[in-house]
Amino acid sequence: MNDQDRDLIAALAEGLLSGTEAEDALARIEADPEMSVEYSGQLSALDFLGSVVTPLMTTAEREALHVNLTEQLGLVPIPTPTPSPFRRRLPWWQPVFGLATAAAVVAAIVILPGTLTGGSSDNASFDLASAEPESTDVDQTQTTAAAAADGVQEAAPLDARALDDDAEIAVHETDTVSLEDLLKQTGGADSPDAVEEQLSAFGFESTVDLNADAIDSCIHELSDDLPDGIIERRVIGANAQDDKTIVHLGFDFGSGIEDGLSFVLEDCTLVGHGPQG
Amino acid sequence: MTVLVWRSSCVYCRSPMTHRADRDVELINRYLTGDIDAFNELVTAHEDRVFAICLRMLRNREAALDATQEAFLTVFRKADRYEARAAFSTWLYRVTVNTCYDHLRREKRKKADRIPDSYDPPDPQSMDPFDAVEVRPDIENALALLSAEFRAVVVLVDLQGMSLEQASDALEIPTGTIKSRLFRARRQLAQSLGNLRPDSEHPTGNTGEQ
Repeated sequence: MNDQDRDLIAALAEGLLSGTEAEDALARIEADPEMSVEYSGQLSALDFLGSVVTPLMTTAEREALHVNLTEQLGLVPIPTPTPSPFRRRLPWWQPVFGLATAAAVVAAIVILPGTLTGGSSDNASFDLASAEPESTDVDQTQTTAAAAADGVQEAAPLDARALDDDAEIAVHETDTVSLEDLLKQTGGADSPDAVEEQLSAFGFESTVDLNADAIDSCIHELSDDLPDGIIERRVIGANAQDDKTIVHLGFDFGSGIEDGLSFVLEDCTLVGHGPQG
Repeated sequence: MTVLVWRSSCVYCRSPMTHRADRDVELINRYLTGDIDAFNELVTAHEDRVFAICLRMLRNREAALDATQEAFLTVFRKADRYEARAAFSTWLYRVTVNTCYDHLRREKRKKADRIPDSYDPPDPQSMDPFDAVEVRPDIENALALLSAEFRAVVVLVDLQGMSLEQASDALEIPTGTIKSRLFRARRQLAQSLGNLRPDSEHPTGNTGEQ
C-alpha cells in the first residue's frame, strides 16, 4: 500500500469523494485485504472521534482568564490599595462580627445606662464626652450602631448581604457611650447564632444612611493617626450629636477589636482615640 | 454509519472563516490602539477553541487553563508583530500548540527528574479521574496513547475541524506530513480501541512522513 492508497482510504473515510469516485474506491479497497483493514480502522477512528465532546471552560474559569489577562497585559490600571477597609472583600465572619458590635452597642445602652456616659469613666481614653464636653445633653444625643453595606461596611441589622452600597446605621436615642466600653463589648457575640439572639433581643428598628464615601475620605485624612499592624478596620458605632456624626472606628490586629478612634464625620476631626492612638 | 457525522458536529467546519478572519484583523488593530472591548471580543471568540486544544493536548484541566492563559498572553504581547498574512486564528493556534509542547516538555523533564533510570509511558488507568478529560474512559485512554505530535494533528483536524491546510499553517509542517500523521494517528486510535486485528498492523516506515 502506497501513499496514494492511503490518501484514497482517507478521502473515502472522510466522505470527500463523489458518488462514482467513492464507488470505485470502495471496490478497490474491498479487493485488497490490507486496504480493507486500514479503511475499517480509519472509519472506526473517525466514528470514535466524532463522539468526542468539545470541552468548555466554566463561567468562573472564563472570568478568571479575562481578569488575569487584563491584569497581566496592563489593560486596566490595577487599583492602588487604599487605607480604607471598606473596599475589601471580607471573610464571611466579618459581617457577623459587625453585627455583634452593633448588638453590643445596644446592650451597653440598654443594660448599663449612666455608667457609660461621657466623662464619668475613669478610663476615659475613648471618652467622646470628654472630647466634646459641651455636648452632654443626653436628650439630644443619639447613639447609633454601625451596620454593614455589602463589602463597604460591616454589620447589618438583619441581613448583611442584602444591604446597598450606602451603609445604614441603626438609630437609638440614648446616652453617649464610651468608645472604650463599646470596644470591650465587641467580643460579646462570637457566633452567628449569638448575634441573631442579641439582635432579636435588642432590635434594630430604624436606620439612617451613613455616607461610606465620607468615612473613606476621613480615614484617608486621619491615616497618620492609625497605628501600625492593623489587619481590619471597621466602623463599630456612631453617635449623632448636634447635627454632627461621631464615627467610632475599631482596629483589629488579628485577635479582635483592640483599639480604635473616633472622628467627626462632617469635618474628619479626631475627637477620641484608643490606647495606641 | 455516516462518516460525515464527525464533520457536521464541528461548528467551525462550515462557518465562513473569512468573515471571522476579517473580524479578527479588525479587532487586533483596535486592540493595538488600546481598545479593551476589542481585546475582550477576541478572547471570547477564541477562548473555547484554545482551551479545547490545550485540554486535549495536556489532558489536565489546570495545566490546560494555564496554557490557555499563556497562549493568549504571548499572542497579545506580540500583537504588534502580527501582519495579517495568515489568519489571526492560525497564528493563535500555532502559539497554543507550541505552548502545549512546552508544557509537555517541562512535564517530561519533571518526570525524568523524578525517575532518572527509566521512563514508563503514562498509564491511563491510573489517572486521577478528576483530571480526566473525557467522560468515556476508552476515548481518554486512546488519546492518551498518542504521541504529542500525532495528538496535535488529531486535535486540530479531527476534533477542532481545521482543514489540512489550516493545520499545516498552525503546526508549521507540510500538508503531506499532516495527512501522514493523521492517517497513522487514526490507525493507532483504532488499534487502541481494538478495532484492528493485531496481525493487520503495518510498520509505520512504509508510510513515511513527507
